[in-house]
Amino acid sequence: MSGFIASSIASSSRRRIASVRPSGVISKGISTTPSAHLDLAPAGTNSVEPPAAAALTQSRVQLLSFPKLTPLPRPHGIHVASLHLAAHHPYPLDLYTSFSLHAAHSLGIPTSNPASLPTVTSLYTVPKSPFVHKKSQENFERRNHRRVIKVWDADRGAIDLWLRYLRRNGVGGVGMRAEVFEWVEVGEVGKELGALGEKMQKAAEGMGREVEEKAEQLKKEFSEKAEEQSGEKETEEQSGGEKEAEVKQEERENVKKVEETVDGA
Amino acid sequence: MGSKSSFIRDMRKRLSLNEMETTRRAHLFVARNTTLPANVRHRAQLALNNLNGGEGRRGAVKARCVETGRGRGIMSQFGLCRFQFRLKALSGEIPGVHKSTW
Repeated sequence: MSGFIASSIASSSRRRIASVRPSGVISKGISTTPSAHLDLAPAGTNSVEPPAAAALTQSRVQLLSFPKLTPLPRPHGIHVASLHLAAHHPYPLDLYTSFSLHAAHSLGIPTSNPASLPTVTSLYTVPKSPFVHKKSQENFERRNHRRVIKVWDADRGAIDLWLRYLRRNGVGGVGMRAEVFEWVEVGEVGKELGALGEKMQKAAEGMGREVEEKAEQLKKEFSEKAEEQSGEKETEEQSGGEKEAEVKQEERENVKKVEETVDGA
Repeated sequence: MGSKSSFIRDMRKRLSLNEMETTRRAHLFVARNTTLPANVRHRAQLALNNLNGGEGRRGAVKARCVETGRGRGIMSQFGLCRFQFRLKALSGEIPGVHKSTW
């Protein structure tokens, strides 16, 4: 990663790395919860707790959650990537967000705190009955909770390692999407763009390629047929023309003969 | 809900779409290409009209309920008709969907 340029023009190439749809049910075990913290006894169930017990409960709760992080310094302040997380329930989302923050921290990648994007709520209203009776309906909803983590000043290799680790330890029901920005020197932009164009073309060559090949075949086939037909027509015209010419010559000869006879007479 | 024959017809259309799509697109490509001679384009159009008895069009495929095969009131995001959506949502089979109150 030599030759950093802190201008927005250079950050032309964006890449999506991991994308897991939040609606999909992912059957993965939560391997991220620290098991050492789980064998603590549950908090007391008394309705009125003495202050000491309350403090103990709080400490236990703190133990169960992730420890606090001291943010890493950002020596250059260059935005390198951002990780988008989404889920239908806030609990696994927050769990996974803090897990990914801790993973980044232990890899030495400086990150921002997680930012909450607005929750997208989609509403569905359907009639209760299978047939008519529109007046009695029922409302359903689905919420999409979202978080974003920004990543600063990290090497591409470190980011890839981090993302791979996150994918391997994904939590069921949490979707991820990573935007990774690549920084290029100004003179290299043209080459990079060319290479990107080729890449995109290759990616686009799915069914389009097949169709083109088949169309090429059809074109050949049809144009050959068209040529054949036009060739037949031409030969007909030619033969017809010859006949006409012969007839005309005969007529001329006849006329000549008639003239001769007239002259002779 | 429609008769069983309509489900089967829809299945047949889907299968033939899967089979014929590339060929149809190729024919259309030739027929609509203005750089080609008119004779060739006309031939491609005629061949397209005769292709597979006109079956295999993308527009002929209809959205149907995955559970019951109902052809109306489909929620395309879930592929279910509205009543099946309600039943599944109430039993918690659709991820993230729950009853809403406000």
